[in-house]
Parts: sequence; structure tokens; C-alpha cells
Amino acid sequence: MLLPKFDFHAPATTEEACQMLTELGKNAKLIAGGTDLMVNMKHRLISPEHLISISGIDELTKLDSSDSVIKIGACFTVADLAESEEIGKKLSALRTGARALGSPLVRNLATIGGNIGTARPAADIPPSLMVYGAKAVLKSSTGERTVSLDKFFRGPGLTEIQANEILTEIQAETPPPYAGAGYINLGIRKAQDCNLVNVASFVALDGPDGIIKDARIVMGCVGPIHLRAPSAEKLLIGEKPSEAIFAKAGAAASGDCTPIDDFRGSAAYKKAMVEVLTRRTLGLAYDEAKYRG
Amino acid sequence: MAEMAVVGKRIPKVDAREKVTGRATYADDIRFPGMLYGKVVRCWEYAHAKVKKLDISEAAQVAGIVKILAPGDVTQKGYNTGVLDLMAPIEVSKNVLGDIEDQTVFTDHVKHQGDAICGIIAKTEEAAERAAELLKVEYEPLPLYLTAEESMKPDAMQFRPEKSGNRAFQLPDAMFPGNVYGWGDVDEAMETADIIVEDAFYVPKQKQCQMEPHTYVALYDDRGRLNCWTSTQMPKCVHIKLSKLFELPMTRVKISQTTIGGGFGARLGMIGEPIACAMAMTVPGKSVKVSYLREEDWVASESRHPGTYKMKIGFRKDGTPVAVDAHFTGYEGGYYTHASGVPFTTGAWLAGMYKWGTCRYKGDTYFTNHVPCGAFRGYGNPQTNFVMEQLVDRGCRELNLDPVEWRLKWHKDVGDDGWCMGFKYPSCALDECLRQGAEAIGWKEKREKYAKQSGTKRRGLGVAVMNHTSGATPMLLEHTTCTVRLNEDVTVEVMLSCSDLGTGAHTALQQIAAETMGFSMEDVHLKAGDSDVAGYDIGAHASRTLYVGGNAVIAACEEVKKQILERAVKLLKAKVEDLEIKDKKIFVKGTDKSVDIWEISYKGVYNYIDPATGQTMGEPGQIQGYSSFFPPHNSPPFAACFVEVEVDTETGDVKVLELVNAYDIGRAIHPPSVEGQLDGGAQQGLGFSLTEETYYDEKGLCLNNSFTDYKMLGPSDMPKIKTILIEDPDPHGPFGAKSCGESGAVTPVGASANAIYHALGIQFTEAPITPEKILKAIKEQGITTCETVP
Repeated sequence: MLLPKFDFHAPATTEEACQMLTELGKNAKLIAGGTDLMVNMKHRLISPEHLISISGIDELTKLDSSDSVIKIGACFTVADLAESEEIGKKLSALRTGARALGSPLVRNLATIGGNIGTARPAADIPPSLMVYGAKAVLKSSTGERTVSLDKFFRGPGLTEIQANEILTEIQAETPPPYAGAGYINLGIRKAQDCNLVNVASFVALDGPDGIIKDARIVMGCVGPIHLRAPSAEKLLIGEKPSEAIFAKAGAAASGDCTPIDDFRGSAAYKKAMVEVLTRRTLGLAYDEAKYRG
Repeated sequence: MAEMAVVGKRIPKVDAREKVTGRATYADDIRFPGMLYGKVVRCWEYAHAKVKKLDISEAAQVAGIVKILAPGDVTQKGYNTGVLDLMAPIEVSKNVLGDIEDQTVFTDHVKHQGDAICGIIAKTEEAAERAAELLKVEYEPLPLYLTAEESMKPDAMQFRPEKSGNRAFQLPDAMFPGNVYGWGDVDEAMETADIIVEDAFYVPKQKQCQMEPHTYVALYDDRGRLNCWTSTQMPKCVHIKLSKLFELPMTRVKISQTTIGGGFGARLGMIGEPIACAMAMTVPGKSVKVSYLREEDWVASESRHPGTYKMKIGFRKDGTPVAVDAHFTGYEGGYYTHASGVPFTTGAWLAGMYKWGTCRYKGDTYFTNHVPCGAFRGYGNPQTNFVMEQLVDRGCRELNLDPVEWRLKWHKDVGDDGWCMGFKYPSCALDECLRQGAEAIGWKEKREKYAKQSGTKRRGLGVAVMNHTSGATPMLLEHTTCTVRLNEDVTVEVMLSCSDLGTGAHTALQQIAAETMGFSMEDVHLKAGDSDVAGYDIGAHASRTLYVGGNAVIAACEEVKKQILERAVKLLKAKVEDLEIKDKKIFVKGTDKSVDIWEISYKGVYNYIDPATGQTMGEPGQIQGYSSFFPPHNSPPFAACFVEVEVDTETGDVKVLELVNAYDIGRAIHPPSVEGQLDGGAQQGLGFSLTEETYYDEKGLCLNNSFTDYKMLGPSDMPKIKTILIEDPDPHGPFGAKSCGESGAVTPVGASANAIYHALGIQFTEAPITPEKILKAIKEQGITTCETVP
């Protein structure tokens, strides 16, 4: 199985890349780590005539956590994300997600932007980012806009990114004190697997022993895109954290998702797993929140 | 055991460096000037169909296309990729077993997804792929048969005229009266049982997943010789099979065996050699490379036999197994291949394991629209282990007996019939395996501890035992020839056709030669893989390479030594029986009177005439030893495996915590290779019971022909493994060694299933035992702790 023929471009700046994208239009695809793109090209699912590599653009590979808004360049690798102490301190569930992705070899190449931009409903990075309320920065030759990840995914492989736009950066607010998050992914294998179900949860307490003032739950593999669990979130807010309320939220979340039957697992099993993983990730989130003064 | 100089030593494998540096030459690394590329066009859309029309007009226009070959453009002679026609007398294979040759190079009757319908030869790989995309094929879909139960229905379309009811095989009455393997009156004995445990099981279509995808280079050269570079595990069988298929004398067929990137049975017999050679025959003088993609491997090369497996065991209250009654029905796939092999051995492992009072086994296979089944590590043994060992544990639980104690009491032992009735076990260290294994895993303490557990995560400990074989004597032919040439500098060249599938066989065979000669490893070289050089070897099957090949090496080395000593008689003026070889010298026993072997080896080659005397200097002639060895036995190895699991009862997830494999090796010639075989076997055995299955949709199309969706256990899924080698030398094995190539994949199957049974009190009749099945069973049956179980 051979790659289809294509021209390879390696712009040095984001501006140059935007320019190329405008000129080459539909015949071009961006490539960063290529861990998803190359596979799809080999299988002839797509055969772009041009590949524009953005992995050599320095500004896209940076992590800036000096401000309350953490800015992660789209080409920041998943391996770096998995090892970053800063991310571990501020966005721990994101680091857990990064560590769950693929194998060390894949993580060395894969980028945070790629894992979002490919819009795979089973992807490891989006759930955590979404529970942290992250946003994507989209740049084009004509300007720049910021889109919440809640509104970013449109379907399997489909996103808000327009043909002339480049996803350049991910932004997430540092969570407030007494907030925490957790991420769990479930597959047949412990690693190097396509997830069967994955869930991230976030809770913010109004003090070390306080009530839940904010909650976000995101579920993967159980819909065409990563789904929020609104009814579960709603029943948590204003409540005191407890195993019982987490269990209720789990049951509610399983009602919020819309999985399909396939050979990987039945819809009923996936729903049941959403319930378990929601409860468990809420437990993880609460454990972190209690002590993050 | 006597300490040896080379055998038993933890030396590096002879091929380790080239493999870890990536410098080993695999078939796909081979490139010749002007080499062409052959692309096999397969049917991907249907599992059963007729090719109505093959339109090559547009494809033929692609620049660089040399030839497009339809079925009629190459030989249409039938063949069987398996090798039973060589292993048993042809009258037995054809007339008694009913083996048939129902495969052809290309076909217009697609019997499974991936069946080859035509071939494209092109100057570049790109052109071949492009042409394949432009080929237009019209199919007429045919009715689908995806289970034996469907294909045996009276109105089903017949796969082969000579196989009525689509039954490819059943144990033949002429060899197995009543189509049964076993002994005694099972029905009568079952009446005397206090309890009966029985169930119907399903065993999965597991894939070998060898690392190296199948690749061949073929060339019909200017001397009229057909050359094939292949990583087959049976070079000599492929040699003669190709010579028959293309009607060429063996002198005009040459097999060059390339580094084997894993076999596990996938390379037993032929795979793509007939296709690659048929394509090369159409372009004389040009080499043609044919490579299978990983995705093709799943639909084009043989798998393990899946099927239904019914078993019933009757026990008396004291545990006496008065009767076993079993019936395995395999889903053979679209072609006959190994239809007659596995349904026999599956029962043979059952018959050979325990002292059943009576035994009745039936085995058959039916055609289905799947990729055919063939050899896969264990050859029916993992299937039997999954079923038999779970039912034994169910019986033990009902009778309140300890599963280890029961096995200690009832396993067959030295002097009992082995897998082949009438052929007695010459050695057996299973008692020691069970005792040391139980000790190592903490059997008693953990079984007791887990009997009283509660909570979300439940632990369990399971045991399973097995018997296997070292070669297939007396059922099938076992034969290896070996030539050992004494070089003038007192080193030896060992020439044979034994394959090393990554098992360490070549290292161990070289150790055996060195030990026998009394030489160091550096003084021995092993030449294999060239069909022009070496004589017969039936190939790597039935875990026979070291056991049969090792004895062939010893016999040829002993012949060399004999000739050396005969010449030394004159030099030392002593009797042969008074001589011994040590440190490359021949000594008169008990004295320091000696002569260097060099005096014989060098002077035998450089047999100059002394100008002073006019006489030759020394005795003329280069010494060569030769053996053509047929083993008298099959020295089965035994093993006991212990597995500890933790089951997440909310997700069904199984974590394998620890695995102890206590193994009756006879003697470990190269211990690291033995351990490597057992560890690798554990990975495939656990995969069989927990994760691996080829899934098909309702159209018979494969859903998971990739490593993304076919779930082999990865490094992070593997447990801590402890291997215990019990070395109790076998009377027939080389230096007492028994086999270990396949059998590592057997006991982890039953032991892991039994560990889950211990954790949950639930047995699973369908492998693999996936998290979803576990969760469903917990919901339906509830968890029971095993407090009543010792």
C-alpha cells in the first residue's frame, strides 16, 4: 500500500502557511505529526495533492503558562504534554489523556492540534480539554478567531475549521482553587488501543468542604462527536460531593449519550461504561479538587 | 545432570545482532536489477461469489504494466497449501483421510473474502496498484455459509462435489472405528458417574499475527530453474510441492529461505509461493516480487480453527473421571487445507491428558465462507485446553476438590498412552511442574484468601495443565537429514534444512553440534535455507525442529567423530574403543598420549605427496558425516500454568497480574530461547482466552483485519511472568530435550479462564472472554465467591 503522490510544502511562519492554504485551497491538507493523516492517505480515504507541514513553525510548538490562560501551540507534541509538569499541575486530566494516547512512538509525533483537528470521536485529548473549557484559536490570512471546543466539533472528521484556516493554539483557563478533573479511557488493551469509551469530568467546589458550583462531563465514543452530559452536570451543581451523587450523575450521563452497536461493543455496554466512568472520573475530580487550594 | 560445555549455556542467539540492528535480510529486503512487482487482485466485496466478467482493458493501459493474468493465464492445476500429502502415505491421505487439492492460483469462484482472482505484473509497485484500481470485476453473489451449522444444511450449495453435506472431514471409520477416537463404553461409564459436567463451547478464529508480512521473490531463470525466495517454515516441502505444481524436476526448483519474521504455523506449507511462482513463470528471466499487505494477510493466509466444541465429563464423588465425551466441529473456511489435521489432534490432546476411564471423541470440519484454517501454534491444543480445563475445574468445584490435587492424581504419566494410543509416555515431570508452580504463585494461600473477598475488584487464581508433542511420530512422517563437514582447520560446517522461526532453533542446533564434537560455538557454523545444498527436512511443524533436528545433528557429528577415531587408530597405534576426543585432540584414554585432530583434518584435505618419500602425507580424504534420521518417539512435554487475575466487576475488565509457567522441558539446550518461547506463548494463549477473535459482518467480510481492531495483548497488558524449567532428561530427546515451540500457548488459555472462574464463580463458554461478556454474565448470573472451594 503506497502513499498517493503529493507535493510537500514546509512554510517557516504561520502567515506563510495561511497564504499557501489560501492559494492551494481544497487540494491541500495540513500535516503536523501525520499519525492520522498518513494512515488515511495510505488507505486512499483522502489523496490531497499538497501537504503543508506546520511542524517546523516554531511558534506553534510552544507552551506558555505564564498567564492565567494557558496557551498550548497546536504542534506541541503529545509526548511533551504527557511529560509537562506545568500541565500536570494545572490541567492534570489533560496530561492523563496525553499519557493514554497511542504508544511512545506515536506520542513523539502526534500533536495536540492534530488530536483535536482530526475530530475522531474516540480521541483521548478533547474530553479533558473540553471539561477545562478550552478554546481553539483559528488563523487565516484575513484574521483570527477563537472557538470554544464545545462548538468546535461537527461530526466524525468534521470541525469548525474553514478551508483557509489553521488551528494554531489551544487556550485553557487555569482552573480556580478547589477545582479538579479526572480522565479515564477504556479499551480492550491498556495501551495502543482505540478507546471503547472515554470520559472526562470536572468539578469546582466553593471551598474545601463546599458544594459543587460548577461541573462538566464530556463523553467520547458514544456519539458522532464528543458529548457533554448536560443532565448529569445539572444535577451535580449545588450539591455536596458524595459517592451517591456521583453515582446519580453517572446514571444521568448514560442517558445523555447516543452510542451505536458495533463489533467493538454494543450500545448497551458503552452506556453502562459511561455510567461507571462518569462516576469514577467525578471521584478523581473531587479527590483533586479537595486539595487544590 | 552432567555439566556440559555448550549445551544449557545462556549464550547470545546466533542471529540476535542482525535482528536487533535491523540488518537481517527478509524477503522484502531483496531487490534485483529490473525486478518486477506482482500484485494479487483479491475479491474484497464478497465472501462467496462467481466472477461474471473481468474487464482488464482500462487497467492494461496503465504505463508500466507488463501483464495482467486471469485464472486461465497460469496453471489451473489444483493444490493444497497444507502438507499432509507428504507427511502420510498418499493412499492414506487421499483414500482414508480424504484430503483434496481444491486450491488454484487464481479463481473465478470466490469462496472467501480475499480469494485471489487475478494477478498484475508491473514495472513499479505504483503502476501495479494503479492498474488494480482500474480493473473492473462483475460478480454474481452466491449464498453465504458462515457457520458449520449453516453449511451442513441439506439445501446448502455444495463447496466440493466429493464432499457431500459440505463436510470437509470427519475421523474416518477405516482408521477410527465408529468415527470415534477413544476407548471403552462411554455411555455405560457415564451411568456410573456421580456428577456430570457438560457444555457447548465456541473457540475463536485467532490469527497468528507474525511480524513479517508474507513476501516472495520468484524468478524463472535462463537455465530453466524456478527460484523462490521465501520465509517459509518448510523449505523442503515447498521445494517438492512447487516442483509438482509446475511439473519440473526438483533439480529445476530452488528454494532460498530468507530470515523468518515469525511463523506460528502461518508459514507451515505454502501460502503465496504458488501465486508468486506462477506469475514469474509468465515472464522468464525477470524476477517478480509479490508482497501481501497486513490487511491481506488476514483474508488470504490461514488462521486457527474456530468452531463449536461440546464436552461432557462424568466424575465419581472421589474425583474419578469415569468418562469423557467430546465433539469438536471446526469451521474450515473456503478450502480444505488442514481440514483433516486439527479435528484429530484436538481430540488427541484430550485423550492424552488424563486417565479417563472411557473416552469418546468426535472431530469434523465443514466448509464455510471464511479464509481457510491451517496451522497455528498448538494445533488444536488451545481449543481443548479452553474447554477441558474449565470443565475439570467445574467438576472439582462441584465435588469440593482442589484443582491442583485433582490434576496431580489424574494426569497421565510415564507408561500411560500418550496422544497417540499405544505410544507410551517415556518421561513426565508434570508432578514437579504442579508442585513447584503452585508453590511459586502461592496457590493455597491465595485460593483461600480470594474465597472470602468482596468489593468491586475480584481476584482469582487458576491452573491448567497440558501435554503436547515433539514431532508427530508415529502419526506423520518425521525425517531430517544432516551433513557435517570437517574443515581442514578443525571446524565443522553443519548443513541441514531445519528452520528457525525466531525460536532459537539454529542457536540450539549449533550448540548440540558443538557439544557433540567437543568444539566451541565458534568452531561450528550452521548452514540452512538453501535447497540446493541440504537434504530433506520435513519442516517446522509439531514442535519437532530441535527434537528431530537435534538428533540428526548428533548422528552426523558422531559419524564424523567415528571417522576421525578410525584414522587416529593408525596414528596412535591403539584400539578405537581406547580413544577419546578432547580439546580438538584424540587421546588414548587414561594417558597423555595424543594427536591433534588437525593432523587428520588438514592432511586429509592437503594430502600432498612427500617429495622425499614419494608417499602421501597422512590419510587422504575430507571427512564428512551424514545422517538421515527418523525419530522413534515423540516425547511429549508437559506443563502446568498458574494465572492470577483481577476482574473489575463494574467494567468487566480483566487484568492478568501474574503468570507462572512450570514446564517439563527435559533439558533446556538454550534456556533463554526456551523462556522466550514460553513467554511468547503466554501472550498468544492469553490472547486466545481474553481478547483475540477475527470478526465478520453479516456479508462475511472481515471487520478487524488490522492491528487497530484485532486485539493482541500489548506489553502493558502482559503480567509478571515466572518461568520454571523442570529438567528431567527424556530418554529419546537430544541431550534429553523435549519441545517448547508451540506448547507455551496452550496452558495460559485454560489457566486464565479458570482464574476468572475462581474470581467470579462464572464460567465462559465462548472465547475470547471480553469485558462485555463478563459484565453481561455478572448481570445475568451474579458473582459467587468460592468459599466452599478449597
